[in-house]
Amino acid sequence: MAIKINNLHYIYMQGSPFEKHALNDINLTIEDGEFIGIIGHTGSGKSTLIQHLNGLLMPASGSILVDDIDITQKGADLKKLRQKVGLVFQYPEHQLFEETVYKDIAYGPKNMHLSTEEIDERVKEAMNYVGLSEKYMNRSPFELSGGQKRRVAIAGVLAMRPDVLILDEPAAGLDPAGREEILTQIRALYLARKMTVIFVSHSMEDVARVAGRIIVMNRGQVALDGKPGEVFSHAEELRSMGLDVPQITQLITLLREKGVPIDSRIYTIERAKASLLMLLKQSQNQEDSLC
Amino acid sequence: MIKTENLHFAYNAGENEDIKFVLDDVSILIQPGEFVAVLGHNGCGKSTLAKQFNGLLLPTGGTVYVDNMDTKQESHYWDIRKSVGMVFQNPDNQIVATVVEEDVAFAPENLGVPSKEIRKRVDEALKTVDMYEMRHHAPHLLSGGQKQRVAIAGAIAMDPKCIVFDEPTAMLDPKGRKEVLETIIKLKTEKKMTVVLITHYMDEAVMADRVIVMDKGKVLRDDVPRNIFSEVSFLKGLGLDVPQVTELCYLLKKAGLPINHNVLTVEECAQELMKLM
Repeated sequence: MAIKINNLHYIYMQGSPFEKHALNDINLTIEDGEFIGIIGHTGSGKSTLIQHLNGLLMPASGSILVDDIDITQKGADLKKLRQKVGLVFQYPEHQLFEETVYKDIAYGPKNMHLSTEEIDERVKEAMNYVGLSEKYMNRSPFELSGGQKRRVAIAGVLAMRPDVLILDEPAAGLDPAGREEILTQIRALYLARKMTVIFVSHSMEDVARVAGRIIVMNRGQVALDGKPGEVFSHAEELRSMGLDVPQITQLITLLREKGVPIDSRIYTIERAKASLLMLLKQSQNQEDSLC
Repeated sequence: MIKTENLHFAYNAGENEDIKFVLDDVSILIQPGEFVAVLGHNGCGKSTLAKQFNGLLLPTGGTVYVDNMDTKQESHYWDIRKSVGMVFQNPDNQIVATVVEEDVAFAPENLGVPSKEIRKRVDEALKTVDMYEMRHHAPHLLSGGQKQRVAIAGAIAMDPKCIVFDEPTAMLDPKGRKEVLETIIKLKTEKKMTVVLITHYMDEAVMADRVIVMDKGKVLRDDVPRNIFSEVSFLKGLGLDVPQVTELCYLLKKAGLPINHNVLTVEECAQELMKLM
């Protein structure tokens, strides 16, 4: 399901003294099956942008085409849109409300007026996707750990079988092991369901690990857009936007300043290791031949 | 400043079921003026330990001394809480007033500090955390990092000898994290305060004088950051991270390069690599 955003503008509290131009002329095309990371510091407009994608916010001007239907037009079927484009908010565990895990996850599909069997199938499928064992089905969601609660909340969105899954900071507040787990599961889900995933984060390192394309937001505009390696090679620009670049990127930048001929697009430990080993072998050979 | 001797703690200690120790024989010593980081993944007991440091929780077994006062003695409660301030994870849960400076004044007011002295302390505390200019603002309109700095100012205004930070940056963005960390370091270097920082971010622990690594309620390591982070596979096994550059050097060493993997920063790593070029 492709999403096309044309000349999108959004202004908070328009006409009041607190007016703020939150999105400024955004143009983006998101293709079917992409895994996109959106980064930007707080206030850069990233959350405002994703809330447009399922019609929670309406633009001041511009259009958003989801599957060639302009969702900003009057009469657009927003209910159907929200089933297709699932949005998982920041700290989604705060939105759990039902008595049992099962009921909470079933809430979405139930409102889609599906049959009991269909709902049951979807709930179980969603629990399986997020790695929650069925023994939790009848537990109260409030008795679970933070990480488990978050998975229940994500399962609730998955049970609607959306074509596009948007996650706002899904790993915020988790420890390294918890982050790793949730990122791995999202990645696995993406591969299994072949859905489009949009992942909002301010952690460059997390985004670098999972996304195939990175969109960097700054002051309501798209500042950079490309493959992770390309985006990270703009280390100085990223830092001036208040973003942390991965340590490996910083190292590569520093080595290049010192005259080491290493590829500026490297941002993972594995690639850095491979490149450095190769470089060092070459310089070793040169020394040997000089002797 | 803080000493624990064979500290044991269980949340269900009063019940008959199997007692599960959240803190299991913890003996540590924190010297005045030290900056100690406690590192561990969720559920390892690090926050429970923090709450022992100002008597919010009391030992099931063993003893905790704060400034030579036993936390189990009721007569010491007030003095202990005056000596050890706490700052928690969620800034929204710690702010009580509707104006920044009133919020900072809340604790000294409750301690019965004379109002002239309160004024002085509040101003000083706000200057320390670099929020003086915003003293008349409403806290709910501040950013996460700013709110957390107001919470820190509230702790400073109590004039404690030590502040315990329980994952103060977990809910902040990179900019907010940086602001809060700079403030913490300032407390140690300029105010000579004792600082205990509970965290699961290794890049924060790197800045401490000493790192205590916890798992399943036990202290597994207690050493300077450089030695702690050189144990790459040990930390990874506990579900903790090491700095990327440390891991890179560790992997290069494993691949047979004569490199020192005892590095913590990008600069140190570049230096080590340049030696080989």
